[in-house]
Amino acid sequence: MTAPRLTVQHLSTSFPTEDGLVRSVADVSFTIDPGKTTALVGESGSGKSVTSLTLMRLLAKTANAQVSGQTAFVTREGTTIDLLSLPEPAIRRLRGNQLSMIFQEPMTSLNPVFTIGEQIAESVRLHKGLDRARALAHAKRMLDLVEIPASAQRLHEYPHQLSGGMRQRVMIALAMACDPTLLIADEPTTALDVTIQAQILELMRRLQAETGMSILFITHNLGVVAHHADDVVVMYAGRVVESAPVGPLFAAPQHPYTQGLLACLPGKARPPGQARPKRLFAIRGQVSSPLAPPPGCAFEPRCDHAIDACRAAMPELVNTGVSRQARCVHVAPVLKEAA
Amino acid sequence: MLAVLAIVAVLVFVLTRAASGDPVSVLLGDQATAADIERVKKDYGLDKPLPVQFGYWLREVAQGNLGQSIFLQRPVTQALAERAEPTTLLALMAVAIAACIGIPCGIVSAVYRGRMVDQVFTGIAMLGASVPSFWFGIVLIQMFAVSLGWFPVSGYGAPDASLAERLHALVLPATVLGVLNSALIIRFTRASMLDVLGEDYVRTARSKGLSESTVVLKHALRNALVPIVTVVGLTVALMIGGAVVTETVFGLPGVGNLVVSAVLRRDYPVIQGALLVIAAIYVLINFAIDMLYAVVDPRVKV
Amino acid sequence: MKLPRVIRQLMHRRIVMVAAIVLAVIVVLALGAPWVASFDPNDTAVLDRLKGPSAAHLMGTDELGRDLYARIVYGARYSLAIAALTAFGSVICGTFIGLVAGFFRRLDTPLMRIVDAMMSFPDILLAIALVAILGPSLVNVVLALVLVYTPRVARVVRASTLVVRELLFVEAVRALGVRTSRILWRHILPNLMSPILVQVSFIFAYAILAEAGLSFLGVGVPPEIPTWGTMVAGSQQYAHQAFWVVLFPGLAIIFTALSLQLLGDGVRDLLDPKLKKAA
Repeated sequence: MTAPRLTVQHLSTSFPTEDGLVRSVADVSFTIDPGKTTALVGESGSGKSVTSLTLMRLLAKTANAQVSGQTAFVTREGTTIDLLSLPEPAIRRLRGNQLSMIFQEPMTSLNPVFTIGEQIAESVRLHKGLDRARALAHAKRMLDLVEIPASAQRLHEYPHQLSGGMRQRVMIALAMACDPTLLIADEPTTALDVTIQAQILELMRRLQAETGMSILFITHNLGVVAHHADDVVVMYAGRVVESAPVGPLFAAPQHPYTQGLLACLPGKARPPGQARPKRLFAIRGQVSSPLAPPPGCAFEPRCDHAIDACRAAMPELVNTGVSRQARCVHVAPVLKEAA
Repeated sequence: MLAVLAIVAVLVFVLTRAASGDPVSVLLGDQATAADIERVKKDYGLDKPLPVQFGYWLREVAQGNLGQSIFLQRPVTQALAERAEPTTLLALMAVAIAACIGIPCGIVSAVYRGRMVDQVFTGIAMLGASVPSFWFGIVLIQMFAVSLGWFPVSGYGAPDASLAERLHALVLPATVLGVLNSALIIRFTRASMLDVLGEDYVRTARSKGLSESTVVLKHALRNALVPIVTVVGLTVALMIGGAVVTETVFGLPGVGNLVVSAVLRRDYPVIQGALLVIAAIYVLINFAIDMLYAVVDPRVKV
Repeated sequence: MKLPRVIRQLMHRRIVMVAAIVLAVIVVLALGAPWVASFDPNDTAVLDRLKGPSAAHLMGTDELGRDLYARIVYGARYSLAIAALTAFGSVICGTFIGLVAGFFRRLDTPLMRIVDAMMSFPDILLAIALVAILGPSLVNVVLALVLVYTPRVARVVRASTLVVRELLFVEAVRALGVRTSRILWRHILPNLMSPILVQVSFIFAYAILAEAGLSFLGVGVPPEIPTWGTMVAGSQQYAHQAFWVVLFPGLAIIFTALSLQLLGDGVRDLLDPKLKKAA
């Protein structure tokens, strides 16, 4: 069994604010295998974006984030390093190189005063040491790779001359320029039209197949997860509440939150053969404020299966099956099988 | 822009005409007879109704004639031209100093926002905007010209002085203007950089693994330039006003000094001409700044 | 009432508090001049001229033997009064013009063109020209400066009015048939209080500096009136032998202008994010 590309253990990120300490990410652990896609699922405020920014060490300095935990990233050369404890120059060598990221807002993620070609070439020149001409040629190849037509011409165009879908392709080209082994995609298709979404996702799947890179796919869209992810990590209020391979998760979700999420899917709401139900299902209540978390399980106020034990203490994340974990008092922990 | 210039012209004309002093009597003295006064008035066209006078004046201006200085016995345009050099050089030197101080400090302030450096620079910027320029001038003269003797106490050098000598004489006044006006540039640069540093594409640049200085100086600064260029342009305009006091303190034969003495002597034509020219330059500078946007920001291209 | 909460929040910022205290001290000293100064500011004592700071004369004496500290404290009355009147005058006029320009579309362009034209002159030059027309006196200096700063206030108020005008409740109130003047006075104006307050503070500071500059040039208040500017003007030739005659008036100006600007900045920082949140 090959080692995971990235292992995250007990990652926590907190921000001191005027109103108190906000624990955006608490005790998050997951792994990403080479060549596979792990989806990080949760609603707004669940901490999924902060997780990715913490891994890339892109949190704003002014935020004074307090980070704890360990990671194990296997580099192209075969060494294993902890992303969190790397000195700044070292993490910069990885960024855009072996570890890259694409963001949610393609409209504002590209620098408006530089051409597309320059922006892609910059990355290549930095990490691969190519000269300007070769870097631009490589940039053109990347534009072809992401299926942008008239790539030679596009090289010299500015971001404002491209549509949203195009810009996201450019972002992908940018991220892939140095052949990364891990791509973090933070809601890359949320801001795009549905048809463009499908194209971008297809593109990413193809690129993954061709290059063997891993993808950490952050999203709140379960439909996307079902079709494109291999493993799923569900987050709620900064914690992992369930993680499982995609098939078993959809077939038999164990955590009440996951169950609720799946029940929200319109398709799910209608068991085959039956008439359309009158109402869409919605999980009642709202996410509690990060400044005033419930004493026990964070989901307890909204959970129909809550019992007293849920209020008393935060449940532990336990193994519940092959590559499955869940954080709930109602799940039956399974002893880990000897490897 | 033209509308503004037109109103400026009207204002200048009305302002100077409304002055309560009567230059003719002053010029001719107490012994002037009524006939003498009438004659001089006719010479200067001061006996016609106001709107007509305005029309005459505009026509003259269009032809480049700003009238004759009553006290200097020279065409106003010539008086202005003679005085233009010290003021222009002073303004340019001062802007250079202000920008060289202001822009780097503003950038550093933005990058280290909230930290000690930022507070110190912002504090200095505030201080710069609170110091009266004449006082600062006197202080610098005392320190560097009188005590240390590094610079001339006043004046612009002998009439045949070399350019180097003249620039040397301008160092202190330019420092006064430059340092005090850097305050505005620091604040604008800082604000503009802060805006840009919060943008998504800066995060993208960091995610590519670029060094922080590249991110700040290449990716962020280019985008922050528009407001910075605006404020530098504004500073050029401000210098013209600031020069008035500074030229007086340092005894420089510039346009500002000319205007002040013209006001004290009620020399209408000079006041009128100088105000018009200065205001016109202001308007043109602002117009030029707008044009500059198109160069700096590719999105603004026609 | 908006004000008390603002004051409470201002107190959280140390620097702003310090600025406010300094300002308060200056105002108190100015108002209490007769009790604070042990000398008459106009008492000349030729034997004591150009004496340095000592126990008897806290800030030394000027070229006519007058106690500098007394002159500064009395001078504060004039300098502060002129600046305060300027600030309030220009804010009142500027607010009126800005409101009208912002609210009545047809008046907007012509008014703003005039404002632009007035702002095409360097402040000092315009002030000099106006004082030249009106004649050098304390009142005329105030009038001139009011005219100089009114356009600035008008611009700010107009911009804010444009924003407030588009808020829904104004449409609702208009639909109810409320008189325009009432709309302006009771509905729009209260929402402009924050930028107006900020402007008062800054123009106060500018006016202190402007009056000093004008007086220094000899085109401001008549030299007999002891403002900080006339003090520097009158004593500058003695600067090399008795530096304090120039130093202390300058410091007075700096402290006052700085405190005012810090205060204005503090108020603006507080009120701005709220405006953004509300919008």
